[in-house]
Amino acid sequence: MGMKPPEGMKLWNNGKRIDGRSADELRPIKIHAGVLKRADGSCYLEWGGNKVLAGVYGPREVHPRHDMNPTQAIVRCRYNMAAFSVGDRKRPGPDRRSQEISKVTSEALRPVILTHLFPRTAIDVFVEIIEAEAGSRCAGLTAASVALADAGIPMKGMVAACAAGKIDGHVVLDLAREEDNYGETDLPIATIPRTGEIVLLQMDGDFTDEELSQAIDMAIQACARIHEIQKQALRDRYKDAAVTDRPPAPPDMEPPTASDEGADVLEKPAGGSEEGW
Amino acid sequence: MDEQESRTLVVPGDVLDDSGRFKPGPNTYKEAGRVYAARLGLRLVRGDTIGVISLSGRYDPQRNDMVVATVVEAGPSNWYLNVGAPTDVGMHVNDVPWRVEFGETTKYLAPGDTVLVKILNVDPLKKAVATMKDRQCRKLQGGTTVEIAPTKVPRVIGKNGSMISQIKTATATRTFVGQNGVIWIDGEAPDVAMAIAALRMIEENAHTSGLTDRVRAFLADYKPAGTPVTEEEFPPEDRFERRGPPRDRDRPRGDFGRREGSRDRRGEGGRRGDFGRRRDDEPRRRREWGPEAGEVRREPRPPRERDEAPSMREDDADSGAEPPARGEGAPRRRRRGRRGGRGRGRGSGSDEE
Repeated sequence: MGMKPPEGMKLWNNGKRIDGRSADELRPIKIHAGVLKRADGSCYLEWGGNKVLAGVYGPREVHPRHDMNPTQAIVRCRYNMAAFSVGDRKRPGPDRRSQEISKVTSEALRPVILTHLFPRTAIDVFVEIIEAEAGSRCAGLTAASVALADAGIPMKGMVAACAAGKIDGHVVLDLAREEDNYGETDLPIATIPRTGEIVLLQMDGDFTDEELSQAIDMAIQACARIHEIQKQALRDRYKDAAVTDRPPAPPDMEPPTASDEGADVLEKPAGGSEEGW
Repeated sequence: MDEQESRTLVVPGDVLDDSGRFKPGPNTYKEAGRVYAARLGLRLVRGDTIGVISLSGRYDPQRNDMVVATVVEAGPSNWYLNVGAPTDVGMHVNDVPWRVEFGETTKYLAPGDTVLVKILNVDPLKKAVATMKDRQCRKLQGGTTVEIAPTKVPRVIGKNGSMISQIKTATATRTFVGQNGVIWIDGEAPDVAMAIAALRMIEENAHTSGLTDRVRAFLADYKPAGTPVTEEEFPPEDRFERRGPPRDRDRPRGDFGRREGSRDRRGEGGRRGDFGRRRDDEPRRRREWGPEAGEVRREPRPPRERDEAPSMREDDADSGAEPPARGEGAPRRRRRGRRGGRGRGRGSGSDEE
């Protein structure tokens, strides 16, 4: 944000953006629910150049114990960017930015989860950014919400997130990498599409009053569209269940060796079937 | 709206009913006169309530649930059991059928043991306690456990236990389905593998209908390990014969099945019963190699039928479902495996089946 674009780069060109999208067009989104076997719920999401894996565990025992709430579940989130997720290697481990995103993600999910149903427990959400290209917190939150639903956690609704922003004085939706780097404003928003409540709103840069309300409206509408994709991903999870194959036949039993049976000598039938042994 | 029609997949936040005709059922919540789904699952109308059958999620202990649990910790006067719930479930020594001295809990149940217990109570903070003071409760010896999603347990059991009794019959295994989704299976290894495959199939297709018939087809031509081989399947000319002098065990049994000299070796003259010895009327437990021509290799399995379909909750007791071939051999195993209780004042009948 706020960097000068390189010579000759135009973010806004005759109503089209740098990647050819119109102002209110989203990057392509793909969501798959239930991709991790060991997690209670999981989701893999691709959003433009973002690739995100989210896993949910719980409700489970709280460690450290002093974090436990005797009346409701606590919701914890860890947002983590893989070292190879960005162009220059990211130094692994929690940093200021990922700690902040972890915090706002868990706070955005808390209002939808029916935490009072699970006193003294924790619901852990892990968001791993495998590849990042602007808007990874929105992608992570969208994936986390699908993973929570997949885990069977009772929720009032789902959370969908999308960013709006300003490039070259134009309010646009879902900033791409260059727009994020060289644009003027970035405004990630997460909503509960069922109620229209906003559960996350951050802003980097500045808007006028009109631009802000225009951007918020745009993002809220986009969240509704993303919500449909989320719902479809969960439906697809149960659409076509595979038919299980039979277990592999037990390995042919070896005839007892001489040591097993004393001096007895056994001979296999020549070409005979061993079926039925 | 009939029950079948209403079974659509819903996600959290979906409106289940906005007419106000229905009461909110399980996994739902009501807001401003509308009923919404709170969990991912199938929408289900039953009478005047509308609910969601959840497809995933952890086990939520309910009073009187029969569960297959693993002992994780033994205190001086209590145990902690893992039942798959968010927190471990406690069980006090007063809730077991044995008289346990203070500090001697591990003599009866040690960490790692598998037990069949009943949830005695769940308090408002979801702290649960278990008991073994119930007819069915016991320590599970032998066998293996398989975990499925607890939300799919009703499908595994089936209406009036139809599904599970079908699996038990077809695979000749002894099975108990815990409400927590832990399933205990005992039997011959290939039979257990087949039973597990059937369970996995149910788990994957739990949200579809007509499952009992598909599982029946899946198991249709399976023959349990103890099934006799017919002449057609394995003609005598394909069999091979053992060469060499006749072995002791192949000799005709004229002496009531006793081996020569066994009485002397044991020095007990068989006074106290024939522990550990195979009687002639008992089928051999292991597979035989090199049958003599015409020898009856395996005892044919008498057809088993259940005359009475068990109820959904208590269906899964394995009583009566034991394959006779195993049942005959079972007491010997049990005698070997019994722990504790022996030589104590109180009988420990309940740890047996």
